[in-house]
Amino acid sequence: MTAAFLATLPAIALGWMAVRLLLPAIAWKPAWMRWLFELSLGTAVGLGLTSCFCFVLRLAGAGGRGPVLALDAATLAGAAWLYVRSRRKEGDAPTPPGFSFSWVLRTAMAVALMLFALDMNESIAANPQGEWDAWAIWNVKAKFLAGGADTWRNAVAADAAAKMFGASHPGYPLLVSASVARVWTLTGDPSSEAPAALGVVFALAAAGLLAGALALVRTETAGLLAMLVLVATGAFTSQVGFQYADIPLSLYILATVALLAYAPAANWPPGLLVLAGLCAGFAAWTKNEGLPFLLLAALVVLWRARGRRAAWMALGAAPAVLLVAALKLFLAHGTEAMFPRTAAETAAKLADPARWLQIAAAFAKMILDLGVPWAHPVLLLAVLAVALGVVSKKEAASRLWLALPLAGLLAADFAIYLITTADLTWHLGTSVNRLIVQVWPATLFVAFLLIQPPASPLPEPVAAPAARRSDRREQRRLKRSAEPR
Amino acid sequence: MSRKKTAPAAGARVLIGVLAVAILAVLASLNSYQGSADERRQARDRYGVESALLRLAAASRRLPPAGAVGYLSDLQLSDQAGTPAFLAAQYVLAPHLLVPVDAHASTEWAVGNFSRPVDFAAVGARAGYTMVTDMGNGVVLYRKATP
Repeated sequence: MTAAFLATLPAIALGWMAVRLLLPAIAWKPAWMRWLFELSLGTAVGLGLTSCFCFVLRLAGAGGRGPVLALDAATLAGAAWLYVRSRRKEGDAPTPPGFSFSWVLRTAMAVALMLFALDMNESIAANPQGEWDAWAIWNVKAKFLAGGADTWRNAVAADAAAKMFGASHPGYPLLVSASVARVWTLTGDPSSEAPAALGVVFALAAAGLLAGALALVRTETAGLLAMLVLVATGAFTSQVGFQYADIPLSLYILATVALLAYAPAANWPPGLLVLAGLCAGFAAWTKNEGLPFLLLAALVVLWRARGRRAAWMALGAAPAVLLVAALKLFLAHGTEAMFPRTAAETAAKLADPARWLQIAAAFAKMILDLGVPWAHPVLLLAVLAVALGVVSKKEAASRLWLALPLAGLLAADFAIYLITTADLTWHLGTSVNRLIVQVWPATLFVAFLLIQPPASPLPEPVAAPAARRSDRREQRRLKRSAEPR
Repeated sequence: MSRKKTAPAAGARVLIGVLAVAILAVLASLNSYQGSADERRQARDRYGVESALLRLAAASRRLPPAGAVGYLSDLQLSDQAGTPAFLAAQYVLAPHLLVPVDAHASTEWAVGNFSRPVDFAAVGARAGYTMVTDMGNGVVLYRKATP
């Protein structure tokens, strides 16, 4: 698995430099959280970019190891040159008000992350090839893409998987499959280690980005608490070993929402909007659910930032959107068989109250199944809301718009279930639990924007000696003034 | 400002809330890890993918580098066992595209994936293929019969 991890490093380095180039210089503390934020976001951006490169090279008939390495090296060198020229410098940020017991949270996070790593190791060992969709859809497409000029079209062929309903998806976006194919091409070893390693990288990036982004817009302790709640979410952690595309999608959704959350405070800088657009575009290049999310995120930016600023986001999204359009319109053959063919059939399904109830019940169960009852993530959020308090209504109103693309995506999912021609029980049973995973890290991010960050219940350790010193100075001054001249 | 004004009771509430969440989150992570460890102990290749990797690896090496490959089996594709058997075989044999052999099949090569001993040569002959090699464990390599 080491080789697979190493093969992701050029992508992460490229993404990190893109993030450093496009984000405005931000002075913040603690520095390690800045690194966590930039590396996690860089991982998302880098893996998205290199998956696009891999697919475009394959389209151009140059998908071998040499061209992939050459393009990686050229883009890395170009980004490094731009980065050096930018002479970017961050000023020193004032130390934000801390929480005396941050060390407890840091320790808890370290322990929870260690357990998360062990958990991932056990899941992968139990199921090296991943769950059903991994080997039946995503990784088999990766094998087609990695196979060479003669076989990549099988990934978009209508007769793949013998046209079986639920297995043949010629139009599925290819970010995950192309990322796996890229690693296989670089290592020359089409083993199950590459998709497993990428699953781990995507999950860790999501956790790191959640903590780092909250440290940016709130405080370090808010970030640490959010990461703890995320790794306590069994529905999320159990997905890592599955090797599905839902956790990568959750990473891109979180990255978009987190960048948009910071944008108003920075006056909607173009580079940040390009990054948000890139991430929203990569969401669409990861799964079909990413398309409505991209549309909703773009509408929200158009509403909040208006006009030309929204164009920067469109510019960022353009590369992935073009690839998705090319895939859906020109490359993929055949269509998904789950949509009704007539308006009358659609109307009949929409008018059936039993379907609404069944879907609503499945959505409720999906939230119940997020974690164990005694440490359910919603319960943990409620405990924090009671203990720390929530922000004012005015503040909440200024942040809740970030939840609109998430709520809209779930509403779109609900609508798809309403009109699906597949057996509804089967369709819900095989997919509904993954929908919440897609939006969960971003939902946690928005929730932590509405909860007050913890303030120190006891005086800061550094404050006491300082106060004593000032007291001593004041006493000396009074003593001197009282002395006879 | 908020630190100075925090009343002792509110401070204790913050501390208890944060510590409770930290402890519960770590325990939930431990619980999740234990669940995965149990799953690993009981791992049993639910869909037969690991088994397909072992059984079909030799056939995969014998096939030409590209091109579609026919698929013959005693299991119907629509069966509960036939669907995972076909998809697992497709995963192992990719990047070849696996195509179920029917009257219209025109692939040069075909792979037989059988769940029980049958007359492999006869099955192939009925579909217009001659048996090249019986690779054991129900895996058979076929080639299109020359007219």
